[in-house]
Amino acid sequence: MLHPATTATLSPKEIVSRIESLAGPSYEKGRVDHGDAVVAVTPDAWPKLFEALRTDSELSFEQLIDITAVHWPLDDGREFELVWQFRSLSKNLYARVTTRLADGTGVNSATQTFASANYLEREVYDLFGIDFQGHPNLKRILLPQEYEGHPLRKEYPVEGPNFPEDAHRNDLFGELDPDDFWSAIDRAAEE
Amino acid sequence: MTIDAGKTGLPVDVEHVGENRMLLNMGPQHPSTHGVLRLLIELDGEVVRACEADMGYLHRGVEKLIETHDYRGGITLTDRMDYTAGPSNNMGYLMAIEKLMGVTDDIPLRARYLRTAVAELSRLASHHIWIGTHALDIGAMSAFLYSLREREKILHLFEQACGARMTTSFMRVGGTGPHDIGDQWLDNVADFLDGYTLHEIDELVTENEIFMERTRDVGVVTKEQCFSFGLTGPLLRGSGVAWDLRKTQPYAAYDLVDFEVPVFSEGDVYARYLVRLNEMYQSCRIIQQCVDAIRDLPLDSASNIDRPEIVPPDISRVPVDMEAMINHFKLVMHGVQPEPGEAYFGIENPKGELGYYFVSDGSGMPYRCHVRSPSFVNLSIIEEISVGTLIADVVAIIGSVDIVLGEVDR
Repeated sequence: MLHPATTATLSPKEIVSRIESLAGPSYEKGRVDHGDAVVAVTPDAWPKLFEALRTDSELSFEQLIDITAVHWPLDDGREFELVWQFRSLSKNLYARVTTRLADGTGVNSATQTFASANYLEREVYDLFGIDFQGHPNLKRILLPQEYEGHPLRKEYPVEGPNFPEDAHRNDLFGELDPDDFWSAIDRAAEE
Repeated sequence: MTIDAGKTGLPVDVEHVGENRMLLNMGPQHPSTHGVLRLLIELDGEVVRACEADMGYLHRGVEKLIETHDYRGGITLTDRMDYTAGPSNNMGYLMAIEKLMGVTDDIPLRARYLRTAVAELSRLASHHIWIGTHALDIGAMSAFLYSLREREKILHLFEQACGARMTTSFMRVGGTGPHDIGDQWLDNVADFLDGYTLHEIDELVTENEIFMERTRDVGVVTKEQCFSFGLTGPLLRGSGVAWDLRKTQPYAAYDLVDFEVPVFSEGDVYARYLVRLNEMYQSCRIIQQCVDAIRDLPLDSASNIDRPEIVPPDISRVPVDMEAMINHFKLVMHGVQPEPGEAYFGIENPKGELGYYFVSDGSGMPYRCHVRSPSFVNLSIIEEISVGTLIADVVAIIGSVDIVLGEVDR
């Protein structure tokens, strides 16, 4: 029976500095955002950092609870921000670790350390098109296998790729200018 | 025997099925998969040798849609994910926005108690669906009927509070929004708790010999698997980890009410059943305390935060008060506008940790909203623990993991 700590054993600031020492030269910057520890690292930190975070005696992040990405299309060369969220149940800690990637590059998979990464990385691959090197079964998970494009990228239209341009046009009144509109109303009233 | 698996390229090797092996497509229209989940199972006699889950049949692109709505508009999308516990989903979404805006501590007490009560009511509703269908899958028919009768009463309470039964869109950022409740509703909740017949289901199922035979030592999840697979909720507490976000990181009014977290260490289907059943008894305790606490609050206590840039003014003031009209117009046209930044907030949903991750660019629409859905993460354990069990036990395992496909696919 595992009884978690009722309050966090480390403050967010201490978590950031602990991850900094674990990441070593890969550490970019860390901050405390809305009470959460957030650390940015370079892509070469992975996959070593997964194992380090899991086995570290002070942090002991047993769970990788979530992987997601954010697309910043204007940030040339670092368009994709990958976000891993870790949680320690025994020590009641939480941290977010992020990495910036260029389009078309990949990052090492976490599946060797955390089994939860299997589905989560497939989801990120499916919706963002980010490659996870070393994933045993990297293929689409929510969309059909033959689907084209990655919908959560910002350039992907929310209506879908094959949406006709004039679909929003109102066929009843078309491109009428306001004068024509009112004369049409008048004619309708006379009839 | 060959089954055309299309271009899905599942790791269950559909081209080379061994001698005396059979491929079985379970779902997406199979009643025990609780929705449109498809399991491709390789069988040796009745024993499962490989299992692969195929999902996405219900994918609606909720995350992309939330990016195109203002923060208020996203509320209606959230209760369509875990539709068995709509208000609870709404609550997680709102509280993540409140964390992003840094107003979590300013939410009035009345709203916090009401949120807690409604979240626990939706936990009861969700667990009733689960206990009914889970027992039905295993062959106990009557629990299903008793269970849905009780759930109906809860949905009726939701209807009285906000006008909708399942897709409630309950509450708004900053408090209860327009959905404040009167004394009559509190009386109705108290009456519901008085006449609540959970003990009937308890007596029908818990000591039922057939049910115990079918669930004990079936689908055992170890503590290490819980960690590695990122499992949360009753799966975790059925495997001996006393982790419950309501206790470890209290939100809403959970730090003000008294309740226990049921934990069982066996890790099998029966342990998860006991966890959920005991959770339901605890939920009743929480709801009773919340109802009493709301009754003790002054009659005119606020149910919304006093911040005009978050909460629209009382609608009766809008036609006669210029300030109120401008305020109302701005909130309707632009919505709430959090500062640029990001925040993650997770709540203990009936199925596990439901988390919302928001990135704001300062505009009225979220730049990015990611939903960490408990069903999606918990589903991955099915592939692992089904192997080596009988095909009939797969039905019990799916039931005990308690997934809802609206949330898996989003």
